Amino acid sequence: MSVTRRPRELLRRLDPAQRRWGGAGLVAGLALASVLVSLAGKGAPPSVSSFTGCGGPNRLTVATGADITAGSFRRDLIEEWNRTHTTQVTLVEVADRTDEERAEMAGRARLGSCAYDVFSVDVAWMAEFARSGYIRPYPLDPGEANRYVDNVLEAGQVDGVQYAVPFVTDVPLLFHRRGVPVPTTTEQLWKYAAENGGYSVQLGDYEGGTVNLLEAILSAGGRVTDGERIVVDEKDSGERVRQALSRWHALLERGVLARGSENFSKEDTFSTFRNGFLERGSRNSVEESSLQAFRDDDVAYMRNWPFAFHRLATDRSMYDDRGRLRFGMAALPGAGILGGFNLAISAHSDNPAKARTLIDFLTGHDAQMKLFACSGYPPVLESVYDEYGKDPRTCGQLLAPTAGTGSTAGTGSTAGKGSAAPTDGPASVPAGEDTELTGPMLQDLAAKIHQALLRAESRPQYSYYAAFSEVFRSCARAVVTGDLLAKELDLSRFADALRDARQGRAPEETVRSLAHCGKPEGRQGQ
Amino acid sequence: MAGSSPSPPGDGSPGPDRDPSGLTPAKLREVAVTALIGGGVTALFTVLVEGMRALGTGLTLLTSAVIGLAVAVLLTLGHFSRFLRRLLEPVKRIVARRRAPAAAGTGGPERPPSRRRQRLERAVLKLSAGYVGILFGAAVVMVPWGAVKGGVWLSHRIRPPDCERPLELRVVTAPENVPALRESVALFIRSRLVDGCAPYAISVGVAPSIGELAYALGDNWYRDDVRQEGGEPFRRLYGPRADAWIATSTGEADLVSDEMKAGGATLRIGPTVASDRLVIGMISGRAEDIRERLPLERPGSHSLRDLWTAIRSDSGMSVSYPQPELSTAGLAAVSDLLLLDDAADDAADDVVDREQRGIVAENVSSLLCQFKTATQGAGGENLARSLAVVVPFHSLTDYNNGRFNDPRCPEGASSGRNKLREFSSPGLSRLDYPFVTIDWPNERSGERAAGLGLLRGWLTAHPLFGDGAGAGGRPETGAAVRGLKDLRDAQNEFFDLLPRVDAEIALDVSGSMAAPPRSLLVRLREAFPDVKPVITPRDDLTLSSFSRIGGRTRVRQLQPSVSREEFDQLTKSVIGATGRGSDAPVSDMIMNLNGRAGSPGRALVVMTDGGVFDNERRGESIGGTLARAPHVTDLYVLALGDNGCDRSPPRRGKYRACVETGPDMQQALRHLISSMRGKARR
Repeated sequence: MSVTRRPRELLRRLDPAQRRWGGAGLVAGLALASVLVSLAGKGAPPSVSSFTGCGGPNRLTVATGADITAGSFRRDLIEEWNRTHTTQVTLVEVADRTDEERAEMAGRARLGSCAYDVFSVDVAWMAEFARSGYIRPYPLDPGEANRYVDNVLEAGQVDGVQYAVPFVTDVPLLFHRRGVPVPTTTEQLWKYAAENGGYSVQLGDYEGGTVNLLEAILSAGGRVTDGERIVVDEKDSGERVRQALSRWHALLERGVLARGSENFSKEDTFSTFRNGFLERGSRNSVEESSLQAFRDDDVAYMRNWPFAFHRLATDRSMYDDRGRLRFGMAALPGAGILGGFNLAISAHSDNPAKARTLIDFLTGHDAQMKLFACSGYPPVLESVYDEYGKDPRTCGQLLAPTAGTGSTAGTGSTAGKGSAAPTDGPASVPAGEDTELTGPMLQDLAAKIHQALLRAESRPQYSYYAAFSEVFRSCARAVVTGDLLAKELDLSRFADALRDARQGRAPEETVRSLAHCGKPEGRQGQ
Repeated sequence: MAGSSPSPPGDGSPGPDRDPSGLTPAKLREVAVTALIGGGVTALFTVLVEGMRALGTGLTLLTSAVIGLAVAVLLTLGHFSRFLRRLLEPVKRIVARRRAPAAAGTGGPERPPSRRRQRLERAVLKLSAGYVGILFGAAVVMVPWGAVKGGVWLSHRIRPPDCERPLELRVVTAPENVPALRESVALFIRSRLVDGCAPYAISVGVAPSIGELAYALGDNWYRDDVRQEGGEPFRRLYGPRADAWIATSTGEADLVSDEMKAGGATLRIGPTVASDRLVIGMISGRAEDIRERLPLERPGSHSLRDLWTAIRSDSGMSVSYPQPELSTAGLAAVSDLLLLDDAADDAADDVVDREQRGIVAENVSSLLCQFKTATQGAGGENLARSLAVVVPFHSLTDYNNGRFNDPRCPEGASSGRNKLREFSSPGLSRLDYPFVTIDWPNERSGERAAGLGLLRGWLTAHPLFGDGAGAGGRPETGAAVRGLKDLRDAQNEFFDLLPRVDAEIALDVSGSMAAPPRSLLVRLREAFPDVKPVITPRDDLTLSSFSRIGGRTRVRQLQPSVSREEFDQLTKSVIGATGRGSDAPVSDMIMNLNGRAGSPGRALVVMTDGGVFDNERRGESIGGTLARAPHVTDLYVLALGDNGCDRSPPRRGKYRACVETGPDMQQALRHLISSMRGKARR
């Protein structure tokens, strides 16, 4: 008897009542299982979210970090928009700290809130915001895309889709005292720094520390990631990573890396200002402290972001007796990591078209010119760099009602000194006078930033970048500071922890234990 | 399958049951099979539910799918079905035998089964068929679904996907509670990990002071920002919007709730998640002296009056506590101290006076941090011996363990004589730390509510600060939690007792104050609104600006006399100030102000980046000018920017102090106001 006939035979032998019951049971079983499947499929407890009181058709809300730049020019731009458009914009400054800024934006977006229409998204969060569906794709036609500096625009892409456009960018520069040789390679940098009083970097336990350590590894030819892949445990790359970190540890021990660098942290302190860099406790400072160290002649070289130029160039103590700047800038030898913020439209915005119009306004040529000259934001448009290459204008000149060129306009205390000398040249800044940046200074700065941008690399794009960064930093920093010997760094465990972290998984032990780096249990740091 | 067809009823069977009503093996089997099927379904369901709980959905479904498939295959392919039929055969035979006589109508040796039993037997068979039907029906759905799910689970085991995005939650609390809350929250998150993924990302932040919190909760977590009145299109939040608040006491939560404006968030005051009490702390070396001066009583049972007398009157120590305007622990301390038996006038005045002369700190963490910093400096030992602090007991423990919320504090645990020892008393407040859920208008989320419910449950079951009871002579009974009325009364009385500030603020508005990229004027205007909580209704402040334009010093009065009520006007004037011109000599400014600075004998506060101190005319000096200016009693400098106090003149004559802002301008401004109160008292 064939297999197919057997069930029929079984059925035939049942009496009608049994068949009815069996049929009813079958239907009940189907229903029961379907209910069970649908319940199990839901998994999480039922969540009901509702958000009312959104902005309305003629209101946009932009979420961003605090603006404490000179003149808060970003705010002025919003006011300018409100004067000229019926749709009114409110700029909500969430927090000074970027992690808190991210928490607010992601937290609201995660719940589906319509509180914000436009997000100012750190380039490091792009993958999280895009893959989580917090922001909408932002398609650009070729004409629009060509306006931006290439790799700055790419920082707004995730999985090949453009989700945001750059608003401000950032890239590290090498600042050096006048009179010291300018290195072009990392080996030269170590040599010159050892001979001239050290190199100030940021190795604190914060995102800036991650960026510095990634740059150290990339500059030494090592790689931690390759696209989505973690490659730190692959043979060649792994050993280079180990060597790079070991080298930085040695540099720190020998004082080539400035004292205190290993513990620079996010929270800069009053003690930095009160006690001075060398007297400060070992835990404090970030870019701010590097700047202080550099200004106070403690170090001859400094890795820092372009904002440092504005700070130094507006400090009269940074000019010599002949009115010339006592420092210069150059591209950072080795690799530099790209920073900055992009503008993206919230997936829950009721006004995406208007939001896009606003973003176009904020990333327009005029706005970018003013943001650079007046507030010190590095521009994202090629046209701005082109213009500063040919015809640099100061903030005063740009804001003057009859804004002219650098050579003709610029009188009064806020008008700048368009004809003043370049960074290393004479600049008449007598005591008691303003120290606004001159056109040539801005020209020089724009050129250096542009040069650095073209070779800058992006951070890995992971949905859980913050977790990845924390795990990476914990091990890399431990080696540099001597908490973990370079030979003890277990590249395999390190790589596994990074793979887990980039997917949002916590290490089995706490990050502080360094167990995921291979640190022997119970051993104290050196 | 050949040979697998069932035998006719009775064929090859053991002999007929002589007594069908008896408990025969066949009947036993019948009952057993029925029970087996019923129990099997129940067990299967239980295993499924429990398995999902224990092993996770994926693994359970994969196992179920495998079992289901195996059963289906066995049923179809024969061996198992044959076994099942054999098992059921005796039941069938019995039924057939019982039916046969009834159908034939013949009397036989056997008594025909009763109708009731027949119905029962038929029912059993129907139920059996029903059970099998249910199993088949369930298998039709479960097997493919389980196979798919199991496959997915298996593939995830081989290559795990990204975790689901965690729910972001924000909890705020007073700064001194932050380390303990962070640790507890981290443990909560670890306890909820599923396959290494955290369902919650909970950040812990510092809660603003009572007044600021009441404003923020009433206005969608925005800061009280006077600039908004001008319609300017920007607002500032206190960081991420808070979902919950661990208040220091129920009284504080009530006070904030009471002060909030209508239409804001709704506060739900929940269970307490910690318990602590205020203690008076001092270094070990000094604590021994105090103990000798106290009456012989059980540690922790001394009255606050006795403690106060021993510490203040007998030993001449200062007692510092956080600023009550900004810290609830400080407010509770004032509430306790003002209730001292004979604290009616002079003693109450003394409480406030001493607070202002000691360390000025916005919160408990800052107080202890400053205490540690000061005691490590020159003359630190003497300072340490002369100073006591009123803080929660857990903060004192944190201090001894070197655990600070503030990275600016010196590292390292205290040891030996530098350890702080506590004195407790039934007269010092108990703090009960309620979990306050914040519901924002226009936003409802079941997921958020569920997450907060779990966190609240965890914190209730795992109280912050551990047990801690019974340590170091802490009183077991008697201490009270200060309620809404106590705190409000203490607030009002404290403001009445605070020394008055009467000052002219001179704001340097030269170009360097507005230089990019971090304009000091902009930073100052950011910080100014946050000074309001430390301004009292009796204070009197005026504001002028000065710079040098066209070779002449220009001094402009920006704001005439203001106190707390009109403080926003002064803030607006700071906002309106723009950088113009170059640095003007301070002497010029002082003499220019003379005669129009209001009442004579006021303090002068110069807010500058330091450049103004380099510009005195030949033959002029700031000290000399001050000596000739009767309208200025004291000179204070708020040093903004990178130069700090380096350029300010020597501190003699009328020149009192220079306060550096560093990166925290708000704290520096508040510190300056408090320093001026201390000087005003003297």
